[in-house]
Amino acid sequence: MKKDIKSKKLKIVLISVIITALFGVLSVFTIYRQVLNKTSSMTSSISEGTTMAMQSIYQTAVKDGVTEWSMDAASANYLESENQAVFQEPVVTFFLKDNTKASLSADSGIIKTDSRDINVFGNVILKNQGYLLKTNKLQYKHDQKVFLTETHVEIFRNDFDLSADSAYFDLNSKKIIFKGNVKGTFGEGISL
Amino acid sequence: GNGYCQTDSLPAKKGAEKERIHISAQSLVADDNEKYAEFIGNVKAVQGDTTINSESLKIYYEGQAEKQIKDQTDKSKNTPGQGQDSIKKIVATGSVKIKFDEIDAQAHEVIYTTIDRVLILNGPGAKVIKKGSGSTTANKITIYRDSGQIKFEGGVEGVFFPGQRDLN
Repeated sequence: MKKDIKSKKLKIVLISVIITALFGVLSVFTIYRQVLNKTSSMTSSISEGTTMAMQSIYQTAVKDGVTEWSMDAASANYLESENQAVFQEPVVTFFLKDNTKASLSADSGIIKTDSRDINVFGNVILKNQGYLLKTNKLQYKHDQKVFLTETHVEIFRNDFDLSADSAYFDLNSKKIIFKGNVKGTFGEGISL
Repeated sequence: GNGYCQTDSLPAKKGAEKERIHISAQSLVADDNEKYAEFIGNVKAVQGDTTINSESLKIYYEGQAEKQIKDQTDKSKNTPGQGQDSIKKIVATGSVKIKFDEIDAQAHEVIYTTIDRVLILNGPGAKVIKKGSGSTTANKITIYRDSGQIKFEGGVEGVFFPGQRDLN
């Protein structure tokens, strides 16, 4: 008789252990699924091969303690394998040697994390000391501090406007070269 | 020898300054440190009735800083600091052809300074053709646009169309 009670007790304990274990597994599984869902919604916006994706980011390029450029962007995908980061709606501010600034904005952009070169695409606007440059694609070569574009470009300033097929703008020497179908109109205050 | 000639209809119309200058070319190099912009290749510049065609057109301008300093020192001039660069000099080179007022001018190089509105045509073979009256060639031709005076220097040759009463 005593034996029966003992084995009954044992059975109850065992069953409750099994139920608890099952319950534990179930809850872990449920939590895990939630976490998984969350990250999958986040990762769905990340393209293939991305190491990291971030929203509303701020990045700077500093050399010898001097900030050369800083960038705000709506979102960024870092692709470690390709040493680059892809940005949406980047706004880049360049801090120039003569203490002036140039600002660059576009629909999207790519930064090469090794060379710190920047390529921007779509509604590209570059502002520097009263000059406004508009184009669809623009490359910035960091080590040479040069902007270049091979697509139609327009430049405006209060006293003149100009358009051409391509442009090359050297931030340090302040030299700008336009090539192909150059057309410009100049201010009124002068007479030929 | 040298020669002068005075034309009545030369002084450029003052209103011309209000019209913008339209320039087209194959390429442009602009240097904000050196303050110049050079249009290169099939250059055409038009302002109202004045047209310049050349291989290259280099525009030297005064930066805002220099202009403001100049404006302050030159008290008599009350030009408000428009904060825009102003053109100081224009140099056209290579088969230069200029049309303005009643004149067609041709030269290898033409230098135009805006402060005094003087046009210098450097030859050899610089030529000024005045519609209906003739043409004069010289090594150097200076046109004073405000006074209408033209000075010819070196190798001056003129060809004039006889008026109603000819020589014989």
